[in-house]
Amino acid sequence: MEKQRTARVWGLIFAHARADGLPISIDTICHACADAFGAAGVTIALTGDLAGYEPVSVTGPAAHRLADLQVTLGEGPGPAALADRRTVLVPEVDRSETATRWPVFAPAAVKAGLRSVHVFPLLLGAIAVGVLEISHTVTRLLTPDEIGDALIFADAALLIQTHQLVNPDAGPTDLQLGQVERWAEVHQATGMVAAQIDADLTTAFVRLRAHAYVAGRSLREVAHDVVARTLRLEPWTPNLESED
Amino acid sequence: MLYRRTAQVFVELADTLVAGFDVIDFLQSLAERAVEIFDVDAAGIVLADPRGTLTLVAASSEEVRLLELFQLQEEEGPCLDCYRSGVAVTCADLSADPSQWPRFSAAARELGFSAVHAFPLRLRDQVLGAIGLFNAAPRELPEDTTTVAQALADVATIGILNERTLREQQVVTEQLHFALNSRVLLEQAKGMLAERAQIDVGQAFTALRKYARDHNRTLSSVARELIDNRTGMTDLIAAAKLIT
Repeated sequence: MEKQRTARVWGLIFAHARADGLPISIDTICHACADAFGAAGVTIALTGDLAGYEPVSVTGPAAHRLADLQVTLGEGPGPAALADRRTVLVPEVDRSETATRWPVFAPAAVKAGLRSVHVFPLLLGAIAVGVLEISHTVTRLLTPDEIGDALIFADAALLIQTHQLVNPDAGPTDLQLGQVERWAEVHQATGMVAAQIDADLTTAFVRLRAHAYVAGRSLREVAHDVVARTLRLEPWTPNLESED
Repeated sequence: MLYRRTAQVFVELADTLVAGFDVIDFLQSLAERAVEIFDVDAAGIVLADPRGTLTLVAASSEEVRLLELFQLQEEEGPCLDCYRSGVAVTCADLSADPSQWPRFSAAARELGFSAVHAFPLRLRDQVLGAIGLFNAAPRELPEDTTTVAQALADVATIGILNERTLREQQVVTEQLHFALNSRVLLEQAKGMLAERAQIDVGQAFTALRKYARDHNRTLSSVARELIDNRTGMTDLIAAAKLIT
């Protein structure tokens, strides 16, 4: 069921990339997601060293307004989802609880014509690279099926952002491409590699995936070898400081 | 006897549903206690990922092959059937009808399990996941045990949702996603500790658990600190090296 969902969502993303004649990027995912949900706006914001919440791709004028507000105020469902590393679903923006939680953001969002916002962090354990926000002009809660799709869009953004190397010949049914692995060994291997190369988990995850890609093997196979200690990754660059 | 032990466990679990609550700690305790109460050889809890797959979140033992046996059930097995139907699924003897779950039965029997019982984690008409109980010897569960097992599954549901009154579907989705991601973070921490202390991932879990208990902290907070502080927590590393 998840595999079909993954293939379907990636199919939408690929179709967009083909129509644009461009490789898949964060923008592709943002636009494909907006189409799929008939959303008033979709925003993908990333978290970096300089800014905690930095919108990098936004569709629709209302979402632009929403993103600007959240950047300026530092409050709203997007920054909240990033800070708490949690899914934040706001089916009714103009409800008193929402206004209590975000006193400046909530009325401004209503004024911009938005009535519901669903935020999904780009998250894999301790790895958090940003958020995907889907907003509508009507009060609504996404259905469980829609939430499942939204999470796959968020997974896709996480993979692209962590430098997924997209093979131009790959298709949407190429599961190597689409799935954020839920097998425990992949996460264990990520932790092990982080210690081996003395880097954070995001970097370790990128290294692990790059290794699998270059070796033409599945992420699970590579992770298995790391956990079994038949494969070790070394730090990227030699330590030059000792020459000083 | 069954009731007295169960009552004790319920009181203990109720104690955990307070401030500083950690969903992973809670489910872990529940899986371990299930083994004692029901006189089974292994127990595990799987949750439905909103994307549409079943994922293991806690098990009575972190033995790798046991974890894989639970994970295998995202495709077939008693936990999946239980999740889909919303009712208890029990099999007193896996060898009686190997065609029921060919891959799962073979893997379970290879690990020495003959009987398996799965109980749904239900919230009104929604099923969040399942708790699975395994026995080495063929075994029918007595009716009173079945009743108590379902009660324990209901307690698990309360713990995951961590809310006294549940009015909102959005809270269910947010909590479920949070619980699943907490498990991913724990796996990453297991890997990191395994590498730093040069032990295997199962031992790393034991060390994390012991450290959390000795310092009166939650498993998730210890895992988080280990990940965020790559050169620190030297007392945990030193203790972990002694595990072997």
